[in-house]
Amino acid sequence: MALSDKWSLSTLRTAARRELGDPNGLFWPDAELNLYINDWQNELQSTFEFVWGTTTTTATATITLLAVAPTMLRVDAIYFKHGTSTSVNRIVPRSKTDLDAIKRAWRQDIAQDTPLVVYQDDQDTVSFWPAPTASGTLFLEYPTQLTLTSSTDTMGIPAWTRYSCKDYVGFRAFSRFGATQNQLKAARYKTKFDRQVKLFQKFYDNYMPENAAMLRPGGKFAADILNPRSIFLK
Amino acid sequence: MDLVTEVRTLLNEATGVWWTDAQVYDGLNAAIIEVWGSLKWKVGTSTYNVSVGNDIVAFSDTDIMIPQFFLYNNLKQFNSNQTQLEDWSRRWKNEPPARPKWFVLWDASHFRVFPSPDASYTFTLWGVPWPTEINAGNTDLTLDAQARKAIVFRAVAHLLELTQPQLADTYMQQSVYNERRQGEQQRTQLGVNTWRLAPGVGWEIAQSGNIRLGRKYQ
Repeated sequence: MALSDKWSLSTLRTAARRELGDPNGLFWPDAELNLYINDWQNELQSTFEFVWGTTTTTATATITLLAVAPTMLRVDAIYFKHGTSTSVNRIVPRSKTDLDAIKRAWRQDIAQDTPLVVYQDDQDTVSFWPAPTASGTLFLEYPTQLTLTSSTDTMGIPAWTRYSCKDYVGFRAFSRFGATQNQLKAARYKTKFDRQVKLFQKFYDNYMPENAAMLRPGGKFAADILNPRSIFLK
Repeated sequence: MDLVTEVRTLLNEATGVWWTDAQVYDGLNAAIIEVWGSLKWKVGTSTYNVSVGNDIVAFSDTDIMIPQFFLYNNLKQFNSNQTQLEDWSRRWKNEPPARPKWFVLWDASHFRVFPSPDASYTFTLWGVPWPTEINAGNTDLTLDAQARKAIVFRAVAHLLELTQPQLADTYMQQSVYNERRQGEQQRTQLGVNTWRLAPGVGWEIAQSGNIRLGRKYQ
């Protein structure tokens, strides 16, 4: 064993049981702890998006995201390659409101070889403008959903998060109604977990630190790139 | 006195009756990761191999805990990010394959290299290595005094959380103090020269804890 080991569901559960003082599962059954451990991993994955995936699919005017990538947490970048070309371009993400501002009649445009814009109709589907005419390939990049099902499944998020599992499980286990409920302990474990999350932010910011500032979303520079002024002036 | 014995002394329990060995190891290992990752007083390296056509490549996250930069033939490569690539060109993927010079953190265990490799290359990844785990076969680490106290107090704070939360808070405060003292100690190494250097910038502050010449740590 090493500190770089990503723990299995079984090991995470055993560590949580040590923290709860319930090594034999007298108060909290395995199924309950498995639920909390999965929630812990989802909480950190949705906060930091530690694990990403890629998928390739055939381009159509509209695609259903979860049909293309069932484990997708949210879609991030979409690239397009025309069937007869080797050129690969990032398709620019826009809202329908943006498109209305760019060109009120955008829905009437005929299909063309290479789509320029991707917009989201609802949570499950994205569409392309103009719609692609011929065969093309889409490359999707996205953070994934993580699930621990069997006891041998290992955590997907970095190993340095593994001990925070005990604090999250402590918070959830002591919150649950029943003879073991202890609101004070639940609140303390929640506070402790929140402190860990702040620490993890510091750890992750220090990956390739020269770009730490740029990795923060929503900065003016990043916003200018995503919404270049020239687009709106057309 | 090794780390395990020191923690057990503070718990007033020389052998495992209430706190089992596994619990003590958990407390210590959690504390080591937190203090080590915050202060980053060690550096390590790992080889990073890329091959033709693969521009998203995993790094060895069993060797390096916090990756920080790449070298190629002792030449530092450029850290970059996705936004900068898009800013440079929305068609950046069409750049002809070549030796990668820019490295983008893609997720917690992969980098995107740019341009896409035209051959196999080996880079050196520098970063914060993993500390050694405390277990039955290894009950101590080589640490300076402040780091050792920060780890021991934090481990005890973790262990007392369930049964004596107020005492746990006290130990955690003491751990934070010792962690800060260790940071100050890092900053004042080679301290005479630090006054002549330009003030630090945002990213230096963001990675506070790294050993480097720069601003005086406050």
